[in-house]
Amino acid sequence: MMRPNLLPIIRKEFYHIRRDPRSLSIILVMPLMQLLLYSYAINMDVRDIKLAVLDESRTPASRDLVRRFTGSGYFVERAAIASRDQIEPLFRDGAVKAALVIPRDYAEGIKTRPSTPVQILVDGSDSNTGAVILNTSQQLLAGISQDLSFAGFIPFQIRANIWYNPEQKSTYYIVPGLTAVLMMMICALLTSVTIAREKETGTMEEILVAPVRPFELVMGKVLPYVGLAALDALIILVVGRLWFGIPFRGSPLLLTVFSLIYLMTSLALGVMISTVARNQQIAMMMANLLTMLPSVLLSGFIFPVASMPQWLQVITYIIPARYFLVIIRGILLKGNGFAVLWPDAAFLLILAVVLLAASVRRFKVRLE
Amino acid sequence: MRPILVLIRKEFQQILRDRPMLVIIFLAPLVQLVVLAHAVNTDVKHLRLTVLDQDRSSLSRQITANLEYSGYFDMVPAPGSLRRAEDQIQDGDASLAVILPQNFSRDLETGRSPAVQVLVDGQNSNNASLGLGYVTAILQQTSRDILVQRLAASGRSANVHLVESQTRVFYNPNMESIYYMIPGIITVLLTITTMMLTSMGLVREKEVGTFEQLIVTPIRPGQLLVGKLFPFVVVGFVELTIVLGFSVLFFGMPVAGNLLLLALSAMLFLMTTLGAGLFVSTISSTQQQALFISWFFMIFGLLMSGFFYPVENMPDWAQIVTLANPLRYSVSILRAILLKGSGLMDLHQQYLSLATLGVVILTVTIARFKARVG
Repeated sequence: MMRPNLLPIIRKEFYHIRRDPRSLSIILVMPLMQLLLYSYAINMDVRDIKLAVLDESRTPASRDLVRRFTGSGYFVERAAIASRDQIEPLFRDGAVKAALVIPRDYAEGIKTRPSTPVQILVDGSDSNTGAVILNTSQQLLAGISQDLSFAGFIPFQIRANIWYNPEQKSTYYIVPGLTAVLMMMICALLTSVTIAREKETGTMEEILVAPVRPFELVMGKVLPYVGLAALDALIILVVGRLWFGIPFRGSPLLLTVFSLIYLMTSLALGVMISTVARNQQIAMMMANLLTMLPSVLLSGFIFPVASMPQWLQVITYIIPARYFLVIIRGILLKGNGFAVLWPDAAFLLILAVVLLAASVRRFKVRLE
Repeated sequence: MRPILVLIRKEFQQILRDRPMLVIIFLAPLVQLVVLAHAVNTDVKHLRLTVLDQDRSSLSRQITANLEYSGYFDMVPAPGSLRRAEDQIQDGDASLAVILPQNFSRDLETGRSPAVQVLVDGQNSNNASLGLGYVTAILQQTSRDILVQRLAASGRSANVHLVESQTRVFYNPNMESIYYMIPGIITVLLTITTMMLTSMGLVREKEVGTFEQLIVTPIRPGQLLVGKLFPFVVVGFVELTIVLGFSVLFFGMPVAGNLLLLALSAMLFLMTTLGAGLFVSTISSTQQQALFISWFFMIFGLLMSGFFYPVENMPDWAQIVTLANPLRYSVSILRAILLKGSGLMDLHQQYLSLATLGVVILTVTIARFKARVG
């Protein structure tokens, strides 16, 4: 049931969009560039950690130890130092992140004593790399102990089976999240700015003099961006699938339906913000604070929600991107279906309806 | 000189009279800081682990207990079957599953080397490898303890030779990721205010028409620039002070180095962001464009700054690109000064690079600005 005034407003908004090729090209190009960046430049795994080696033993045994470290792929020897004082300056200017100190009596110790200490010094300012350094070095030393003491006899073996992403590609994890964030951004950020712009420049009043209902105005301004966001999402997913081989194990139909629900929620947020903001700058900052930052930081896109303090985890329950991330990752990577995902989609739908209703009502109130 | 002062005073008055703007400049960063500082957490803890103990021996219970009390995992109710354990991972209830097979301890005793299966949700490769690493370490530790006991029991303790690590962590003993992240957070907040808001503000003046009014006055373009940008420098510093102060007071952020040095790097950084904001305003005709273009630059600047993902892990070509990214230097310098107490000697190269970037950006931008205004 297409109301007569909806179409002209949609058309007008498309004109605005078309007249701004810069913004448009950014909207279409940015996702691709981010995709490229994430696939080729950004690497979540920590490897080739810069290591300083202080070998006070200088025996075949100690050299073997160093080789185990550098041969593991996790460490790269950047400095062979002669004394402990040299370590801290290297940490301070960032030349190395870890130091391995092998004591003078290492070779005798491993043959005669029950335990021989080896020092591992870590630059703790980089906590993520630090964790990897500690974990990896302990495993490497455990391996040596194993060979020295138990000569190949292993009580039990560990067989690891890595699901969904056996080659451990960061893209598989990031791309779904990227889609979610971008869709939120286009819908919420752009929508809030576009309505605020009409308020700011005064053209809002002009429009309202026309026989246009608030609902039609809102929907008309917003639907073109839904189209853009959907287009963006499609680009990312298609390129991701064809070029980067990101799996698509679930149902495309399900993803489409749930994505539309998410889009609705995002633009409901955008509209809500625009009813509150007086001008574009404020709209932008609010959209930033309430949609972008939470979507990127609190949704589980990059940082795991489980590691956050309780009060923050509670807040994440009202962030739409959190639910959509579960949905899109579930469908793309895990092949999850309706049975598993319907609660998340239901929540998004409810949120969308509530926000839209509230903002349309607010809109009416403010204008009259 | 006087026109500049007058302009500066006008700008300050405008800012101070704009209540929502004040909230944005001073309150929003604090809120963002608090939220970010708690959310931005790369500590891999609270991984949900499920253990399927098909052996039910005292050994398998010991292993389960070791896993549970290691502090890395949140235990998920034990599944009754392999199928159920797999479902737990599929549904997202667990990220890791350890399967201790039937007859595990018996096979162990008789030297038949049973296999322990570990199922890993591999979506997030960082979490997956660290999580698997923790499980492996704990299982290996248990294995070693068993062997040591056994050798002791058979009187062959003399054959046990272990190499053990003594670790020492410099600068951030508990390796809290929050201290690693705060410099990045500060950088982000400063960039948002001094680049995005600046560009939008300048474009708004163009849109509204007050810009032309200013140009018509006998003020020179150079003076106009200084007058318009100076308040944002002040705002940037105030914001830096508030955010850093808050971090120190409420998050216990260490300040190991020299604050004056930090202020210098902030000044140089602001030069680049203000220059960039100004540049964006010269290539945008609407606020929306300004928003988008600065957003575009900011996102990429952020992703390649070393805030989330270490620069060292990037391929060589990407690392070279980051040399032109002011955010990279800000994040790195802030981390070095605050956490490691690095001094000018250690960081002089980065300061020089940052200063060079600032000069280049400002020169190009000012030339463009003058060309358009003059």
